[in-house]
Amino acid sequence: MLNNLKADEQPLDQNGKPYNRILLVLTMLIGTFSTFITSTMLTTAFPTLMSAFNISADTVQWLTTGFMLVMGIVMPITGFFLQRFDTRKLYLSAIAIFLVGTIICYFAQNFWTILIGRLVMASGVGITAPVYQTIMTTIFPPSQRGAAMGTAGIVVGLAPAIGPTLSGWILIHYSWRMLFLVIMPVSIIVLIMGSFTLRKVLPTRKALVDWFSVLLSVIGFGSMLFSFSSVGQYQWTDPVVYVTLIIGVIVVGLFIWRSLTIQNPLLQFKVFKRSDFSLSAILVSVSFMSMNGFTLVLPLYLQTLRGESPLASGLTLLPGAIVIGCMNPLTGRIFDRLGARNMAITGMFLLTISTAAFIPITSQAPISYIVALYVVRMFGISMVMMPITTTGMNALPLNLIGDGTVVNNTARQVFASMGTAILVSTMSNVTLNNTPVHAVAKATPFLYKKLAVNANVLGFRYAFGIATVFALIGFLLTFLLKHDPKKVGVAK
Amino acid sequence: MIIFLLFAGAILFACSMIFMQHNAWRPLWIIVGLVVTVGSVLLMCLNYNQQLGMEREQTTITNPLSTSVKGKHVLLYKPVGTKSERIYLYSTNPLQTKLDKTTPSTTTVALNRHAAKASMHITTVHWVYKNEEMRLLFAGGVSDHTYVGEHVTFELPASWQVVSTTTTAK
Repeated sequence: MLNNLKADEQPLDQNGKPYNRILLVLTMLIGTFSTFITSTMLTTAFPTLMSAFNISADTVQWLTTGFMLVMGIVMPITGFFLQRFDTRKLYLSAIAIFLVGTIICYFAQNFWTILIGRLVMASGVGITAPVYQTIMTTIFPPSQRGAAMGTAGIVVGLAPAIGPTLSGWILIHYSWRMLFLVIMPVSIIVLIMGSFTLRKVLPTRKALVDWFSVLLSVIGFGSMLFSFSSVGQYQWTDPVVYVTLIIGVIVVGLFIWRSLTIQNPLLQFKVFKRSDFSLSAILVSVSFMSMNGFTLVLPLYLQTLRGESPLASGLTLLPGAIVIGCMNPLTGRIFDRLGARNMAITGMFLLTISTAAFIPITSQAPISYIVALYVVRMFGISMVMMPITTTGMNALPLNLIGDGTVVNNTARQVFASMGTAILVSTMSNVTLNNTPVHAVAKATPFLYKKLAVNANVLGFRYAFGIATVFALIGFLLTFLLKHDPKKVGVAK
Repeated sequence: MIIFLLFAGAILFACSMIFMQHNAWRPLWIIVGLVVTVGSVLLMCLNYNQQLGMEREQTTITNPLSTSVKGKHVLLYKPVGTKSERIYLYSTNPLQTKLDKTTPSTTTVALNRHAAKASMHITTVHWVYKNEEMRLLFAGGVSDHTYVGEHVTFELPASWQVVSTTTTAK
């Protein structure tokens, strides 16, 4: 697979020295895979951690919420890091930060230490994700970018999906500490390998950081992500949610305005002047809204309503994850030959129809159907995610690719959180509104149980319905993509 | 079969959309792929939600009913909650030491208080495929003989009493 990414001539780094591109890609694939997998790995361990540290479900949730929050805060600042620092040092530093976080978690004796460790890990992942994607985009010529991004997509598609299955298996055999221990050797290997194989592949300049933009970015994106993460625990009408959301929207608005008006912005929002990039960013965000929320709701359905174990629920989703892992490099190569439009229309259609198939879900729908429909769903996503991202990147000149990647990743993160918040809140509200009053439980407990299950099923149906609407919007937007693949060339 | 059709339809649709040259055959193959994919999804939904291709099969067995309390003609029940839900405790064999019980979540119960002899009818309901073709089409989907529930009718002579466990405890 990696051999297909070979360029015709010997690649040179920014210092004019030759380097091995295959080894560089391999190092980053392993490194980013090991960091990405941890984003979903811990969810399975929540019950174990709750009893180990004697904490509530709301508290333990911060291990994931805080992780996503810090990732979302660090990502926009990475745009500046990419301009200022050598990509080799930047990537290795991010892996080292991640390793430190993992070590803190492994030795944690109380919940707050493990939370600090997780936040440190998240700041590493927030840097590795955009750096990885930027490097993969820039070190290959535009004609091979699809294949390169497809290879990069293995990590994005496969790692978060494998996380719960792997951790479910580890927790059956070992203690929760093993979840962190297994990652450590991989990070150490990447650090050693990377010090030989990674190179400075992007030009740097002594860019001055606009600290006010950093502050606005941290407060703005932090508030928005905090608000979306809190919807599951509170309601949209709770001040904790809507006040932080309003603050977030206003501050992000200020951040964008400042970035457009100052000389050295943290993020170059002028990438949105390229219509192909804007459309790609919207499409990717909409697909992420549908994908992320659904990926959270389906295990909830399997575990809370069907009583499946986390491992069984992870295994149900595994075939779909394998499909996206195998398909991403393939769709990347198809993109290089034929462009994104037809593939994106096909993928979005399959995503819409397979998501819609979950709307009439019952508490006894066959697992085989769920697996099959999820496989088709991931098959569809594989034709959308990376090809459309690459279309957007190809619309940018080389000097804006770093900014484009960071903007894309940040938008993806924000919209994914928003999609998840909308799905989860709708599900909770519908379930709550249809659950019979507590007096029914006292009077007729069996009837109450039946009605409560029906209320839960209805909640899931609404959530799947909304995920279908997101996918349908994405499907309609794909028709705006340009016809001729030659037009989707690199901008001069 | 339906799962295979879904995969085949999705692959056919994807390949004809992405790889086929623009000619007269392309729309045809796209439509075939589309119809097979959408059709499979619809059939799957109707199968798991509306039991498409299936029918209810009822099997009734009749057992003699023995008293729940030795020395009396009694059918015991345990009240659940503060209203009408009950778990009936019954025996179908005089030598039985432990009483059987009904499951209110899946079982409905009727009482006939004017029977000549004490007995109970247990009607079990399953979803079964209507024919071999349907069983083949939905193979791997909703299982044949999916349990739906039970209906129990206790046939009690007028001399029998239906008594709550809380009453007997007093």
